[in-house]
This record gives sequence, C-alpha cells and structure tokens, in this order.
Amino acid sequence: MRASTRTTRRARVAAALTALGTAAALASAAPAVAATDPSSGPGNSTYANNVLPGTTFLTAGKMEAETSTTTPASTGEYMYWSFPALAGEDVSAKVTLTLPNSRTAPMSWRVDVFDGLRRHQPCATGRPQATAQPADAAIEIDCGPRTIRPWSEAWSSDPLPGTYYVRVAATDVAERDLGLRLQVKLELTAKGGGDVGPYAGQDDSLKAPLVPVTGGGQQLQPGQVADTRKVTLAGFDNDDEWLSGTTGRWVWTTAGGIVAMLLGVGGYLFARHPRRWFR
Amino acid sequence: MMTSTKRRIAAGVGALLVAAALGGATPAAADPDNGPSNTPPPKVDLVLDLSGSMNRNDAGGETRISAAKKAFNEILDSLPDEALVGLRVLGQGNPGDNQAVGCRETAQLAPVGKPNKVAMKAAVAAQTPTTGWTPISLALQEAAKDLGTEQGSRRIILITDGEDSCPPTNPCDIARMLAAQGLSLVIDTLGLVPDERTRDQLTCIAEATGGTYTSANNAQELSERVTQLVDRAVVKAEEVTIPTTIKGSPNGCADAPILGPGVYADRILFEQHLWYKVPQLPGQELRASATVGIDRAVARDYDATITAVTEDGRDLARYTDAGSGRMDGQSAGLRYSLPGKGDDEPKPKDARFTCLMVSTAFNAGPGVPRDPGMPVELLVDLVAASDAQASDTHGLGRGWIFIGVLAGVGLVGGLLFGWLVRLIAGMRRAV
Repeated sequence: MRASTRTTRRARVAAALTALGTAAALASAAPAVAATDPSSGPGNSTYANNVLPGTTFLTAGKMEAETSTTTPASTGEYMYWSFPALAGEDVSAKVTLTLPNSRTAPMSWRVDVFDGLRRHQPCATGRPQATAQPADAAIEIDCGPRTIRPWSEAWSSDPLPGTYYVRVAATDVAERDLGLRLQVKLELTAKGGGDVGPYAGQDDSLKAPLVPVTGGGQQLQPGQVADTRKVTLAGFDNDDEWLSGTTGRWVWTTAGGIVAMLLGVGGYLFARHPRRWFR
Repeated sequence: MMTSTKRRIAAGVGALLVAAALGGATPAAADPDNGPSNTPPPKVDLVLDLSGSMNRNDAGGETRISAAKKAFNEILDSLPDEALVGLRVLGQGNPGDNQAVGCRETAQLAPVGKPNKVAMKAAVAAQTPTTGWTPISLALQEAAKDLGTEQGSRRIILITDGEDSCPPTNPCDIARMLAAQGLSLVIDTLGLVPDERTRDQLTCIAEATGGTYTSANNAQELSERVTQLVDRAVVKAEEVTIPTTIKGSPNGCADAPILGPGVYADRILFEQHLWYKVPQLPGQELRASATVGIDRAVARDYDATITAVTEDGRDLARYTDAGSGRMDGQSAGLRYSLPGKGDDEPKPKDARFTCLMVSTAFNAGPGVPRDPGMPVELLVDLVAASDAQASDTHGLGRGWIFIGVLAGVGLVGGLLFGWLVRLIAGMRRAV
C-alpha cells in the first residue's frame, strides 16, 4: 500500500516538536547573534541583526527556515545564504529586489536553490527568473523546490533533509549598470513536515542528512582511512523508531486486522440485538 | 529480511577480497570537522588610491579624496575590535611625468593587525592627492604581501577612481595570478565615480578572485559598502573554512592524491580531467561536491561533471549539471554508499579506493587566458551509509489511517451482516 496521502499522528507530533525545538533554538540564538554582530557602525545600522549574504557556498550566510533578512548589495554581486530543512517540508525562497533607479538597460535576476551536495534543485513552484525594465522599482523572484523526501536512491538528485543553499544573482546586466546599490530581501518559508513520498515512514531513511563538511581536508598516506563523520541536524532523527521497518509493518497490519475483527463482531452484535444495548 | 541477509553476505565477500588487496591500514588522526585549531583570524587590507584624479570635485558635492577621507573616518569608527585590518595607499608622492618613479608609488600606512584607529585616521587625514600614477597591479601584489603567507581568509578592499595607468601589466591578470597562488585571497573593488574603463577593470579583478564590485558616488555610499564588506569578512575564525590546496592528477586514478574528508582547492584547465581517490570503508557513504569557479569570460554554455569510479574503471555514480550565461560557478555533487557488512565494525583493511574525477566543458574566446586554470572547490565527506535500495514492504501497511480504514471496514461489515441476519430472522418469523 502506498502512503502518499497518509499523515500519521506521530509524524504530526514530531513536526510540532520540531517546530517547538526550532522556535526554542531561534529564541536562544537571537541574542547570541546580536551579541556577536559587529555591525554597530553608522553605515548599516538599519540592517543590524540581518544575515549578510556570503559570496560562495562556503561563506553563505546562515539562516533558519521561516525567517527573513534584508541586506544592501551591489548589482552583479552573487549572494549565498544557507538554511536547514527536514523531510516532508515544502521550502521556498522568495526574493524581493529593490532596484536602483539610475539603471540604463533591462536587468535579469535569478534565484537558485541547491541541496547540501550543491546539486541544483529545480523549482516546482514559483518564478525563479525575472527581468526588470529600467522603469521598474522592484521585482520579485521565488523558487520552491520539490517536497523534501526522507530517502532516495543515491544516484537521484531528489531533495533530501539537510542544508539548502539559496543563490541570488543577476544573470544579465549591462556593463554600466554593474556595482549599483540595491536592497535584497530574502524570505524563507517551510510548510508541512509529515509522512511523505512513496517510501514514507521509517522503512528507509537517510542515515546522515546532507550537511556539508566544513574545515580544510587532510591528505592521507597509503593505508590510512578516515573515520565516518557524525552528521547532526536539529530535528533530524535517524534512530530506529518505534515500530520501524518491515517488522513494524507486520505489527501495524496485524493490529489493524485485530481491530477490524473486534469492531466487526461488535457491529454484528449491535445490529443483531439492538435492544440489549439500549435498555 | 531475505534481501538484507543476501546483501550482507555479498558485502562480506567483497570486503574479504578487498582486505586481501589492501592489508595493514591504520586509521587517520584527521578530524575534519574541527579542522586545525590554530586557524588564523580573517585579515583585511584596505587599499586607497591617491592619484591626481581624486582631486576632482564630483563625489556628491565634494572632491573624491575628501569623500574618501570622510568615509574612512566612519569605516574606522565602525571597525569591529577583533578585525585585523591594514591600510595601504597607491599613487602617493609627486613624480610628475616620471612614469618609472610614479609606477612604483605605493606605501603601507598601517600594517595588517588590530587597528590603531587614532593613528590610522591621522595617517589618512595627512594624505593629499598628487600628480601620481595609478599602479594598481603593484599595489595589489604588495597588499597580498601585507596579508602574509599564513593560511587563512585574506581579503583586499581596493578603492580607486581610475584604471591602472602603468602598462603593460593588466591588474586583472595579476589578480587571477594572486588568487591562484594557493592562499585564499578575495579582492573586493570599489569604484569611486568610475568611468567605463575603470569599471571594466574593477569588475574583472573582482570576478577573477570571487570578490564583489561596487560603484560609489559619495562618501556615504562608500563608507556603507566598505563597512558591510568588512563585516562580512570579519567572522569568527572558527567559522572560516580554509580549503587545503591540492593538486589532482590529470593522468588517472593510479597516481591521484589520497584525500580524507574536508574541503580542498585546486585549479582545472580547460578540457582537463582531475583525479582524486578516497579510501572508503564498508558502511561509509562517500559524498563529493565540486564547484568550478568562473573567473574569466567564458563561452555561453558550460557544464561540470563529477564521477565516482572504482580503481579498475567501473562507473559508480556521476552527476553533471550545465549552466549558461553570466554566473560565478558551476557545481556538481554525488553520493555513493558502500554497503556495510553486518554489524561488525569495519576494519581499516576492508577499505577500498573510490576514484573521483572532476571534468568540465568550458570554452572561451582566443583573448582569454587559459593559464592558470579555473578554481575548483572540492568537498569530500565520509558519512554513515544509507540503504542502497528501498526495502520490500511485502504489501504490508503502516500508520493510524491504515488502522482506521481496517477498523471502519470491519465495523460497517459487522453492522451490515447483523442487520441482514435480523432481517432474515424477522422475515422467517413473519412466515
């Protein structure tokens, strides 16, 4: 039986707990960010506490799902942010660009979403690319990749739990419009978080979320091997859960049969001798 | 159940064969996630142009130099204390028409280190624009030296209002060469009321090193942008990833460097294949991503491919992604799991090499330099392996809705049957 429409209570509870956990993490992270934020200067006080974009995958500004950031930037710049996402979520990135008014030619912008292996994710929803005419004051672009799956074949590029990257870039810009000041607003949303996909449940799950390695590598000598890296992601749980796998399915199915049998007998007795029930 | 047992046996046999081939391996001491703990903090060197054109009175109602000075005061005020910042000027002095002298004019006003804000402000205030030349190439080379040669994140912020006036060197080629020297170096450029040629040159420098280009027309824009760039650069040292420079083998897997988990930097020429190999234990999943940086003007369509093959050339996994148009890089990534063998802890001698090949399809016009190659950022990771195929559910169900449907069908069936029996009994009594 396929489980695409099934939403278990456990998954809902888990999602609620995850949301709570994320909220708690955010609440506790916010003061820390403010404390270490060095942007107390007169130049960018309006943008204090916003996550600045990085210029590469490695330096991507770290965001959380369901948050937004506003930052000044230059036309032609490549901006990277990253955020974590879990199975069952429909994430999307919406970018609002407030453009400088001294432009001379049309300008095209694109938002791309990449998974933790830097594989480009197609947008299932949204309009990831737009061209602004010189008269346009602002444009909006957005991209919502496919629903994140709990598991996929290793060779497929299906979206999996882990880190996601958002890249905002001008794909077509006139030479003389480069380097102008603009404002970028990025809003991340994450909906859902249930039991999804053809391989739903804990029959198969990803053992390690797609959270990329950080830190410089080390060349090995012949004969040396490296330890398996322990990957952590808030809300990601790959433990063998209660009633998981094929054994779990036998238990669920047997329990379902017993419940059906008891209710069948009960229903028969109720219909056969209703007066015994309402005396 | 059946399948997993079969898989385990197969893995065990495979591991035995590999064990014979490898023998006597020792675990590496590398801890990729914590990295070397002595990562130096990020460094920034500000490079300011003082050449004659800075005297022009078109920067928001004041001269370019006074706009730059005003901006510098604000920038210095807002410098975070943990920043390691230096200051260099170019085109100072008054050589007049003497190009040979003018093209050597660059000086360090403050060494890269904890900023002495008072001294730096005084040094900037004392500067006056000159009849000087604009030796950008030289200033960039000297600034790279200011930043030192230790591993770490290094950033140059170049503020100028004119293009390099010291032929024949093209500062863009110099920038690309500096970036290719193996130390991570990014150059952000700011054009103060730039003309077209300045803009061309500054965008090219930024593109060649993965930096950004901004034009500023007054003191406020300038200080805002530089403050933002410094804020971006000055992050906690432990959050900085410094890729290890590596040289992949262009010849094949046999003489490829052996990599542990972590981030690496390499350079790839057009039409080159770069090979690396990673020892993989049963129960480990190899994850590899490669990003080829586009640091020069390339032809419109391009792609990047990463392939995992066995030592004898069998394809294990591959991923190709194509891009087109103006972009900063092209990425590809793959996963490959080596099935575990039962619950036994894998031993180092069970490891076998998985070869990684990075290849690209880039093209460029005849005027575009091919050497040094384009920057490649390679991520290698070894994590717990996931099942390679979906488990067989034997048509069994799972979950509360499943139980609910069974219960509902049971109840309705019971009720209907009960009513039917009652109906028949009633009819029989009536007869």
